[in-house]
Amino acid sequence: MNPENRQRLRTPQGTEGFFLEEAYRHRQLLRLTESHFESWGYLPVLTPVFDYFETYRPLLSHAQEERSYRFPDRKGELLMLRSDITLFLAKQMGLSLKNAPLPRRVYYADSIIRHQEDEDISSDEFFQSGAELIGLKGMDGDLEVLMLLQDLLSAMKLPEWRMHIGSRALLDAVLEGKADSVEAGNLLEIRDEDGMCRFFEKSGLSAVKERTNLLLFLGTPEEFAADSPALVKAIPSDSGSGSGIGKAVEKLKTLAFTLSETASLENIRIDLSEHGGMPYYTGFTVKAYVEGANSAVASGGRYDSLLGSFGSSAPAAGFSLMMRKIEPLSTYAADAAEKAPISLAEGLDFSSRYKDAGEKRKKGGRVAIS
Amino acid sequence: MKNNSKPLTIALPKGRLLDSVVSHLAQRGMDISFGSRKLSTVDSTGRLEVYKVKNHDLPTYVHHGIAGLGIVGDDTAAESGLSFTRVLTLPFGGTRLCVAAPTGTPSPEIPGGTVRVATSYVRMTRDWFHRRGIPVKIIRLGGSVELAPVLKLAPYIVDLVETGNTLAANGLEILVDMADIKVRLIANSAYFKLHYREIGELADIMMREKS
Repeated sequence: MNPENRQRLRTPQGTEGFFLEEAYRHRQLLRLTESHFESWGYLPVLTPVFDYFETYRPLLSHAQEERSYRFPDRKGELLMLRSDITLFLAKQMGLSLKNAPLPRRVYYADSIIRHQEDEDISSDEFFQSGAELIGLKGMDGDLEVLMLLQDLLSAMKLPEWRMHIGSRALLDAVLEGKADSVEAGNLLEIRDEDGMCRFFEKSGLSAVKERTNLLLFLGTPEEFAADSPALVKAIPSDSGSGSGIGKAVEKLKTLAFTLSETASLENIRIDLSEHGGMPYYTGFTVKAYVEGANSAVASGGRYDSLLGSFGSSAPAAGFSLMMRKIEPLSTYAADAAEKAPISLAEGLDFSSRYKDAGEKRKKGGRVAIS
Repeated sequence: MKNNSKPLTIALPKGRLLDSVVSHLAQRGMDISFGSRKLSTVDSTGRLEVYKVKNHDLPTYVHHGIAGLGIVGDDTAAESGLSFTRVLTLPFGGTRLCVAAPTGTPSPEIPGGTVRVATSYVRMTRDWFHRRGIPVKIIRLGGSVELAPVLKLAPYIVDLVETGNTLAANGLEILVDMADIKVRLIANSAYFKLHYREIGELADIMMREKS
């Protein structure tokens, strides 16, 4: 091949294709995910690949805005490629569910496109799969979403994994509306204890060390039940956040207690530094971490006012999974490829091989004719 | 005492900082010795699997979780543009990031035109000037930035300053202290979430008085 042709075959940074066994593992895991969602009564939805940027701008943080791919259409309107299915889905649901009976259960599986740093070896094209429970507020809705995620992660046969549950409502109560939640979230993400104390002080909040200690709590549900009363008590009850903090902590305790009645708590951690990241979260938040993945493989929570931005007042909760991060770690996906090798049909001519292949396929085999 | 669980993975930076880190850990019972030309080893307690990497590559290794932990200066972490969990601030290796210029040069914070700055710390410099609304033109240099004002490439430099002797030797003075630079134990955030107990134990040992 001459150098000019070789030049034409280069691929842009951040794109990827995946083939054969790798693609087969991807599809197997996707089938597992889809059948799991369907068995819980969820129905599929598809969202557009691009939409008007203006629609989503108020809901994006500066960093998310920077990572999105935007381009003008032929009339000069600014469009945005789908960078987060939850947002695109919220608009679709907000428009279509105005008078629909609730709750509605939906799931999706599609690619999203957003820019990653050049140093990042992951692709700009991610495959996101997830579920949303629309119109069911309160503990039952929270529990359904958390159990849906926990059962799915168990079925994927992953190495050591944990679900970290936090509360956006708690962060909002701690900040009392005095401190910028984006800046607080950034400091919490890196667990910058000194930076948080300085930030709270600058924002005019009292008991800065105590607020920081509470938000940096990370432990088992049992440890949370034991430690949280003292952590909450340390923050003066006459501060503007007293009752809000107490309520959010009690809600998390009840959530963890009810989870313990239906699930093993071994994989669950209460992590008050988890605030959801996206500005639209309002209640519980969840992230899942797996040994071998360099970032969370699933994230979600409750976002009761998100659909309100698109014309519906329905509360909502859900999560999304980064499938490409999970695939190489899932024993389920690897087993599926290994347990079903492709065999060759037997027979002297095409028609006998065709018949033989048909018989073997009825028994679940994967058979090529020639 | 020998640790029986799987060791934590940690990247240490080659160069001056490595000696301080190795000595700090040795004083707390964790001896690290790299064989000839070897870039990885396990410490004497079996608690740490240690990788020796180039300083500016360290954030990349930790970001991808190849090493779950790393010891690095704020400058290197900030210039990588990546985000890490801050586990511990270490009591050595601290320095300052400063704006310097030939003696008598007005501060870059005094309103004027676009400020021209030579530096190896492009991201931190850009953020600092942008946050203050000061127009800035940044010239990236790989090192020896003190030469830039002397050779009239840029009137201002942004650089790490320990004693200030090199600045003085080139006729420069500090105009603005931009930030304290500390050396920290950092963690990949997902790694931290799965190993926070073991990492907490390591941090406790590293904070102890020397034995």
